[in-house]
Amino acid sequence: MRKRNQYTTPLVLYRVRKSLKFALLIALLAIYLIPIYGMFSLAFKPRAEIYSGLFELTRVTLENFEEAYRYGAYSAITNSIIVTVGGVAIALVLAVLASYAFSRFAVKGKNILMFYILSTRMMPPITLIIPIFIMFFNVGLKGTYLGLILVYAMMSLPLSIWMIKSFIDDIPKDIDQAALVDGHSTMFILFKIIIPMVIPGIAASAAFAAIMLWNEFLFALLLSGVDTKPTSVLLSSIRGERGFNWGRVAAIEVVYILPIIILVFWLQKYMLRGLTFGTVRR
Amino acid sequence: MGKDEYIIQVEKIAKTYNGRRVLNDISFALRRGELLAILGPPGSGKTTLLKIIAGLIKQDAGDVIINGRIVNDLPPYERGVSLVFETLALYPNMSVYENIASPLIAEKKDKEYIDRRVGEISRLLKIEHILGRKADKLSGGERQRVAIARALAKEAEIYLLDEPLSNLDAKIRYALRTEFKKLKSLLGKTIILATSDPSDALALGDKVMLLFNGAVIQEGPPIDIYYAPRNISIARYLTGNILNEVSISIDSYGKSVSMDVGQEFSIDPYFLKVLREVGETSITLASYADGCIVDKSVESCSGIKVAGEFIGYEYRGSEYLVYARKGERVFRSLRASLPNVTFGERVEVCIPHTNALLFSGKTGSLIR
Repeated sequence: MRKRNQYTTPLVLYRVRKSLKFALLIALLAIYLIPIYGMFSLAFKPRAEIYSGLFELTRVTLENFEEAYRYGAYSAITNSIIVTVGGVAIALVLAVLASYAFSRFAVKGKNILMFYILSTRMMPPITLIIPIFIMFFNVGLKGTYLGLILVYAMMSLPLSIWMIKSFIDDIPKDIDQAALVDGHSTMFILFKIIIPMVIPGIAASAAFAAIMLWNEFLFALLLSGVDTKPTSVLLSSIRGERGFNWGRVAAIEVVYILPIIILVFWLQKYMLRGLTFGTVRR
Repeated sequence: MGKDEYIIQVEKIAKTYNGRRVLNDISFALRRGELLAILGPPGSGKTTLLKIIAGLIKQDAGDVIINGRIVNDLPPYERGVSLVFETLALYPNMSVYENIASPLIAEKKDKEYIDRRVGEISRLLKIEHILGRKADKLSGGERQRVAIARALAKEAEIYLLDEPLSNLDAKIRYALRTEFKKLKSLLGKTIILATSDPSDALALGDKVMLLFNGAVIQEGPPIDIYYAPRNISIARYLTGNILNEVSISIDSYGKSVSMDVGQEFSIDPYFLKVLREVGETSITLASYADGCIVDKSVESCSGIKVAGEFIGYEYRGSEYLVYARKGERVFRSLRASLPNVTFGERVEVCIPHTNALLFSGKTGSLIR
């Protein structure tokens, strides 16, 4: 009997522990997912039912989305897309060229330069905002797409360079050398051989940069104009005539998060590889 | 013999990496159509030497002369060389066709010419059926062939092959060896092949150059390297460290002879004569497996005879590699059939003096 106990007690304990872990996970999941559910539910609720319970949904309506459209949400989304795509595109072009050079050529002070590039990301962005604002104001970039795109490219460049360089480092140098013996130019090697091989790395860094820029608020708030205001800024300034119009806010949020969710699903296999860059061998 | 007859001359090439001398005054010269096998263990500097010839690594000193012209400052594609990398270095994102056509595209040849040339070479290497496949979807043997095909597609004077047969299974290895010989005689091209496998070097090379720790320790036709290795470490390397070795010593009066394999032995007077002639007190007698006899009893042995114990055998297709042991010493003999003995039974090992290589006991260098 005693022997039996020795075995059964830990089994019970194990089951209890397992259930507790499971419960904890459910609770955590609820904490993360309920707000998102709430957002979707609010967005599709009729205005009159906004203050009814979170889980009560008698009728699905698109009136909040119409409201959001009238409020200029869709042009804000377009602005978000323009500055994000622009920033990511410039950053990627520069990052590919820079990381190829850092990976393959004898650049003087390579390590220091690489650290310097990374260190620009260590600075709190708020410390840069005043000089950049004054500078942009003086040269007429404030309120333009180009201004925000340039700042965004600068913000996403360090991570992109580091990530893409790690992918290029993984490609054996013999492949470049084989192409040199064949008689190809450096540009041919980069564009026809190296870049096609680091597409996953470029995709991963594009995804990370896009997420960061899509959510960016501080620079957008100060550097965008009335017509170039991205969604993050629009959301912060939203106010109805009689207090907050929560249905409209939720509708804008729904439209705002959809593109980035689609992007993440599409690129998630590359992002995982991007997150572990340098740590695993392919 | 005029210097201009050489297609390539390498003169006193030296290279140091991080304070370590990886190549030390390497010199050689080759005529058109010759095949030089550079043989050496991994890390002996073979790849570095080939890359210096190709122009991918800059030497610290010395000259590379191709067709009578010093090419030290020329970029790789202007040197008229083609290189098969040890890592193969195929372009994984491209098809087999694109890989082979790569040097021709770089030379801006027209489409028709490229098609024809890729066709010819892929037929020669029997890879026509995989031309459309991606390079990263090939088997080991196929990848090796594609790498060789890409190198051959380039109209070069000299083809450099870095370990072209390593990591291949025996069947493909033998097939490719035959193909290299065919390529050499068919195309009449000069080939420099680096390998760490003595059997590849001896089988393929018109000349073999032994490279140890960045220095040339012996150079010559394969038969000379095999039958007259300059010292015992070369002989050991050629057999993969399983050389049959016996050490013979003579006392200072020249009377009493002893061997390091115990008391039970017989020795041909020839060896004593050699010992006296060279004035050494000890010599090491060595033989390859094909020069050693292991049998139940060896009646007439005009060499040294040692009694040992039969410990095993390997079947090698048409012949057997038979193992015998005396104390710690292991002897190997290549035979057409197995000796009529069971494991652990007494056998006699005979190394006839005609098959024996004699090395100085003191310096290890070849005596005769």
